[in-house]
This record gives sequence, structure tokens and C-alpha cells, in this order.
Amino acid sequence: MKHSIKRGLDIGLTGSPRQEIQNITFIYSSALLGSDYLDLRPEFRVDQGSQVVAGQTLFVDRKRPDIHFVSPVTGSVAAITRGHRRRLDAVVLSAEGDAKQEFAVPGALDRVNLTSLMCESGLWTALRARPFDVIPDPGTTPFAIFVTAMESKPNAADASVVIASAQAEFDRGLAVLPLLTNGEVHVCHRPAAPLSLQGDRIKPAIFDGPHPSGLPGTHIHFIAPASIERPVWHIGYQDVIALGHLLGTGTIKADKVIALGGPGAKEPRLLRVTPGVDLDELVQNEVSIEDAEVLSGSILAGKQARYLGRYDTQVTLLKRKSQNEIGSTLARFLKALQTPTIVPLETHDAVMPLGILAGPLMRALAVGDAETAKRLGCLELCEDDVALLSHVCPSGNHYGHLLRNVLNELKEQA
Amino acid sequence: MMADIAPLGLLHRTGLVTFKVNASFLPAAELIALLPVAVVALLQRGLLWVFVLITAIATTLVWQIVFSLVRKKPIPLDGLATGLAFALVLPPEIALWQVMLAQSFATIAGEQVFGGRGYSFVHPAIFALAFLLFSFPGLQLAHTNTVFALSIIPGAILLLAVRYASWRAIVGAAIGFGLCAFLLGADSAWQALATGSVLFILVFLVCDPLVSASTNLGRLCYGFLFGILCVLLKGAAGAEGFEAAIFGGLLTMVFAPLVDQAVIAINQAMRRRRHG
Repeated sequence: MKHSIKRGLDIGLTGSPRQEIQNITFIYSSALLGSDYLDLRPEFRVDQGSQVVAGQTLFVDRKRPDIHFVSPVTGSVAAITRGHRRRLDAVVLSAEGDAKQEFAVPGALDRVNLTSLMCESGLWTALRARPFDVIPDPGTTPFAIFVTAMESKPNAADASVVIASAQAEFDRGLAVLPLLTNGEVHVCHRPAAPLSLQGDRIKPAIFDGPHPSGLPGTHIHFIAPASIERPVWHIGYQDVIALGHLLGTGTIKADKVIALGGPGAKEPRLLRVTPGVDLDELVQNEVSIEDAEVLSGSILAGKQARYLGRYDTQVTLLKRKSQNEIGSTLARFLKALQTPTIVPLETHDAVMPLGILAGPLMRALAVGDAETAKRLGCLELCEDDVALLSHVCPSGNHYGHLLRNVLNELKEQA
Repeated sequence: MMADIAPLGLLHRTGLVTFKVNASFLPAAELIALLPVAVVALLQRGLLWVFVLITAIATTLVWQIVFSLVRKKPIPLDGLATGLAFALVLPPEIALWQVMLAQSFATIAGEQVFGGRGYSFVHPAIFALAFLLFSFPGLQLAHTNTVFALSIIPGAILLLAVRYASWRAIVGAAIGFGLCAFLLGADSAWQALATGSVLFILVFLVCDPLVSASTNLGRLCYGFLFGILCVLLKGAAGAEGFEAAIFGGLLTMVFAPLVDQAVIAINQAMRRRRHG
């Protein structure tokens, strides 16, 4: 089935990547970030200074001890840092050697042993459940699973290039996903993507049009809208490849492909790097301007970060905002002209292709009215889905943060 | 943490033209759009009107500054556009204390008690105008002509191009106005178009996104309602020039939240059906 997305926005950022993959092997540091996992309370299995191998458990979630978080590299634990209220900030690893932990892959896979294999190897964290966009409980089954086999964020990689580089692994990973659900596995891709899909519950879904046509939130909304009664899961194409790699070799896939781009990138292209790679080290010789900003993720929803985020597949290099005198006086004047409230414009509706009313939703999010936001359909959304609203809104509100506050409130009630 | 990125500019496609608008420029758009009208008004109404203009703007700003200081909030400048829009409807011979009184009342009771501009459900300028008309029966508003009407057009185009004003509201108003005037045979309604009174209220006050409906379907209905009310009130009260448009606009703004709630109810029903 084909879905043509009409509303949305491709912002036309310069520095879009050449779609060729280059291997980067010289980086020695990487990290797991606490901010990638909501509500995480880690129970450590290693200490600072411990030697680890790729695939070894670093910590588990105290509330859900089945879910393991593993080291992407072989080496040692360089630092464990804590942030606000002793929340996990980062587990920093330095790489040395290339040993890998072996996992026993069962001969005949079923839901139970596939779940425990994914949990132990750290791959369960690749799955996220809507509503709330959090890692699902291993005991539950979703109404459907969505494989995001496309990208639409500014300066993203072409998913079909990455999939083609590991076609057999992608197919192997995809083939076992129907075990996790009684419903269908929807593989969402661009019109021309050369995917050969086999399996009776694996359904192709074609999405075309501007961003956010490539977001799982968009796919889920149009095919099987998520609700508390009918949760759905989604997984990115790179994690399907990682799953196929695990099933084929018994070891974790210790690399992923990211798109390096943006106006500050000297040579925008695709790079094969370690998950959680140290971005400072990575971009050292990649920036074309002095004092560039490094974002993990896209310009729309990316974060300024030292390390690559768990779910990010791109790194954006930007020019830092200039601070000249005339510019800032004018900016102050414009800021004073602006009302501090939400100004619902047609522009907001024009970038929201889902059947969700942008203006009322923004107002509900801004005042933290969880009940109204729920009535307006916010349970179908995550931060990425409202990033364009923040981008076009003159108020400067960050609707991603506001949405997460409301979702947290609704999650406590649920 | 969100990166502090340089403003990118938005791409708007409006038919043939594609151009970049900076998001931070939008609040200034209303002020810029009012400038051609202000120049025409200045030429037509003379130096005396400048005092009216200064009084209107100063009154708004003074109250906004007072409330900002009390609330310990940054001082806003959006009162510039409000005061200017208000003054553009006033004749040069109006008593300055009346201007001051109306604008003070509108800024306090129509804006600041709600928490400031954007929290209220009516535009403070239309609130001030309605206050004037209610309080001082027989008061004459500015006499306008076709030149005044034409001077609105560049601003209207600017506001539509940057999508600050909704084209849906304007199309809705045109349909409502045309249909109603045609069906009722209200010839005098067409004259209101030539003097620019309806157009001025529509473009600068009714289409203000802070008070208009906030959904696409809602915007169309909202404009439609304004168009109908303009013609009906004109017929009913025998109101001349600006009066029908002012009361029509005020009523329409009061109904905007209701229009939105209706659209939300439809949206919710559709979602419930999709979720099964």
C-alpha cells in the first residue's frame, strides 16, 4: 500500500551526505548515554576500570532486570558518570582489541528464546513501544511491529544504501520479527527501495513525500494507530541488520552507519562507526569551519552531544550562532515584539501530516494540559513527530520537551 | 538540551513565489504590514491625527510596562501594533482623553487581566473600538476612502505570504460576505468594501492568529462567520463604515474557541473510529 504524504517540510539544509559508506576504525572511545533511556535505573555488572568484551553486559534495568545494556566495544570501562539526582549520565568505554562475547543462537527460534536472546545481547533496547516510545516489557506482545526502512530527516542517510550493504543480515533479521507479534510486521520504505520481502505476515508499506514521511510515528499513525489498548512496536533498519548479524554469527554487530552532514561538514558522507562513538574524536578532521556545533541526530531533533545517541543515525555539524552587535539588537527588538504565548499559524498545520490538530495540541502541550493533549492524540507521538512544529514556531517553544512532560504524566496514570 | 542553532528560515510556497522567511521576523510582520496604511492615514488626516496615534500607542505601552514590572516579566513591545491598529480607525478630531480611556480599558480589561496579549480571546484594539462605540453614542470613526482601502492590500499580501494571516479565514470571509450580501440584496454592504473598513478589520484584527480559530477547518468557518455578521449587522443597525465590521469582528472572536471545540470534537470522533 502506498501513502503519499503531502504536508511536511524538507528544510533544505546544506551539506547533504554523499551516499557512500566509509569505514572509520581509529576511534578509541565510545559511550552509553543515560539520556537515551527514559526511567532507567541501572544496576551495574561492571565497575570503573573493568575489562569488558563487546556484547558483555554493563548494567541491567533495576525495574526490568531482563533488559541488558551491553558494551559495543572490547576494552575497559573508563568512567561511569552520574548527573542530576544520581541519574546515569554516561558509561564511557575505551576500545582495545576485538574479542566478542559469543551468544548461543537456538536452532529453532520461538517467541520465548528469541526474546531472551535479544534481551541478553542488548538488542531488546532496539525495540520501542508506542504509546510513550519506550523500550517494551519483554513479556508483552504488540498489535503490530513497524520496521522503519527509510529516513526523511534533513541530511539523513539513504536507508536502501545501508540495507544493500548488509542485505542478507537485514533479511535474516526481518524474517524472525513476526515471532514477536501475532499481528503484522510492516516494512515502511521509499517507493524505489529494492527490498524483497518474504514471509506471510511481513507487509510492505510505501511512504512518499517530505519529512516526516520517514518517521515511525507517521507510519504507525496511518497504518495501525497506537493506543494504550493496542500498543505497537517499532525498530530501525540498522537494528534489524544487527539482529540478523546476531542470528548469523552469535556475536553483536559492533558497528552502525551514520550520515555525517550539515553546513559545517567538510566532506558530508556515510560513515561506519562504533555505536556510541565519541563525536569529538570523530569530527576532529571533518569540520570545515571553526567552532562548529556537533549534534547527535538531525538539525530538527538532534542534541548537542559528546557521544552518538543510541537511536541516532546521523551527525549534524552546524555553524554556531553569530553574536554580532547589530544582529543582537535587532534580535532583541524582534523578541520584544513577540508575544510569549503560542501563535497558532497555518504554517504549523502545513508541517503536520497526521490527523492531529497542530494548534490546539501546541496550546495543550505548552500549558501542560495532559488530558486535552491525550484527547488530541498525543499518545501517538514522540519527540521526533513534533520537531517540525518547534522548527517553524516563532515562540521558540521546544514541543519535544513539552510533549515528553505530558507523556510522563499520562504514563504514571496508565 | 536543544542546540542553539542559527535561525534557518522557513520555506513558504505561495503559488509562484518561493521565498525565505525567518521565524523570528514573524512578530514584526504585523507592524510592517500596517505601515502603508499608516502613511495614507497620516497624509489624509493631517498632523492632528499624529497626536491620536501617539496617545493610542503610549497608553498601550504604559499599561503593558506597568503590568510587566508588577509581574517581573520582560517588557513587551507588541503594544506598538495594537496601538497603531486602534489609531488607524480613529478620526483626527477625537478627544484624546477618549482615546486614552478606551485604550486603557482595553489593555487592562481586554488583555492584561487575562495574563497579557495572546491569553485573551479578543483583540485589544477591537475591544477598545467597541468600548468607544458603546460609551460615546454618536461618536464618528474615521471616514475612509478607496485610497485607504488600497493601502491595506500590500500589508494583506505580506501577512498572507508569511502565513501570519490565514488565507482560509479571508476566503471564508469573502464567501460569507458575498453570499450574504447577494442573498439579502444588501447593496450598502458593497460600499463597505470600497471604503476598506471591512477589509481593515478583517486583515489586521480578525485574522490575528492569537485570537482567531486555531484549526484549518475552524479558520474557514471563523472567516465565514465574520463575513455574514458584517452584512447582517450592517442591515440591522444601519451601522455605517466601521461599526458593523467592529461588532462583527468582536462577536466572531468570542465564537472562535467554540468553533475550535467543534473541530476538535469532529477530529476526536474520527480518531475514535480509526482506533476501533
